[in-house]
Amino acid sequence: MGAELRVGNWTVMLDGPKTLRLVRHDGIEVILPHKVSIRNLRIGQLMDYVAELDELIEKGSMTAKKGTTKFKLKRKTKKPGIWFLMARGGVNYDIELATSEALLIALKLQESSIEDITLKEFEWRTPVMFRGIREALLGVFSASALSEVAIAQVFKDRLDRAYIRHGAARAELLVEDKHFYIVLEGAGKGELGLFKKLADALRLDKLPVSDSLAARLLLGSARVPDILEDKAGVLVRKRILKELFKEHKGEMKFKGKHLVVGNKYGTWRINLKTGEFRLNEYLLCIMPAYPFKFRGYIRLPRLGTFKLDSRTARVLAVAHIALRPDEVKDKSIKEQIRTARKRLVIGDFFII
Amino acid sequence: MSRLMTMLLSPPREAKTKEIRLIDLLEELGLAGDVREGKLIVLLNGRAVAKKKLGKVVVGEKDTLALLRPVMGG
Repeated sequence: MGAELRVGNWTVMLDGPKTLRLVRHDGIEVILPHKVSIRNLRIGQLMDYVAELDELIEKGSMTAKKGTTKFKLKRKTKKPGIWFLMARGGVNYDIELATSEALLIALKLQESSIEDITLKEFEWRTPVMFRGIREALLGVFSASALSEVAIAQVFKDRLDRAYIRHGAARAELLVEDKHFYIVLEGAGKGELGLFKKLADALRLDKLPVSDSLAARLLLGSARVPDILEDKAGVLVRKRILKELFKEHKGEMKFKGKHLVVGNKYGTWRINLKTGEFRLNEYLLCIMPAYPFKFRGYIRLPRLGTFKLDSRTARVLAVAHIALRPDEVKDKSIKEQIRTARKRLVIGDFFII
Repeated sequence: MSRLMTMLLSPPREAKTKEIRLIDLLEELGLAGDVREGKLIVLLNGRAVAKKKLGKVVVGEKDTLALLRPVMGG
């Protein structure tokens, strides 16, 4: 740790396994927290950072376009050390930033959004047992990806609310007590529309948003419907699961974004964000048997009947399998359950 | 409130709970055909309802009903 690297006008230091500290000769400092370990960060990437930072400090302003949003970051002439960030278009807000915060956000705005997609793909496709390999791959391909959680901290300190419009989806993103919430004002007729009707019926007007998604929404690299795979999706699905499977109340445990069910087959784990379904950590491959139009419906006591969005329908279908595995008729699912049942899990290791 | 008053006042009326046969409810929703064909499965309070029992099962106001696409292994 302790080592320093001189790149142009900047001294680069490690500030933890995932964090870089850059200090310019005139004392300007920026801390760059990354999503993954920076041990694979290329020197070329560092030089890009430094060039971009120097250009911004000299010019005093920059513009960027992400999706349908235009961003303008400008140093205030009358207030030394204060910058002004303006977002217009899909996302709308104005905030004031300190220099270090402005530099961090500027680098994030210039980052390629392809890397975000790549990370998400890896997250989705890599099984838990290969996490180490995934980390290494991410290090090679996406070492430059700056942490959205760190950027969310900046917005938590500086932002009150932002207005977002993505097609038919209209929403207000709020910061309250250092947490992000979204209020859906319009949601269209698609998946988000179905989800909103359900959330409204459950009187969930203000839905929680994770730090990571909030930062991506505010920087134009995520869209409002992404809340279906975030904390909001978890909250709504949790409420419906509790209502539909109230007879199994004692068997269901909610741990963060997971529903965990324990029975004679072992431990079932359902990701309430994505519908990913595991038995004894063995990933079960489950898909709908009929075309997309049959997503599903739910009739909630005293609230009415609602169409389900596809993720919620999937979560309910797989929860039914976990809670009543003896009722499964599909041969392929039965076979997968047999294989997964043989698995003994000790900590993070499998003995097959 | 005195005991006399309590006796004079009529007891609160309990609202009649609406009940409906499951098959009638599915007809109302226009989904009975899909359920009969096996394109939708019916979960009443988390339990699967067999096709042949659709006409016998009654759904009350406090029941939760889910109609889901059946799933298969990939």
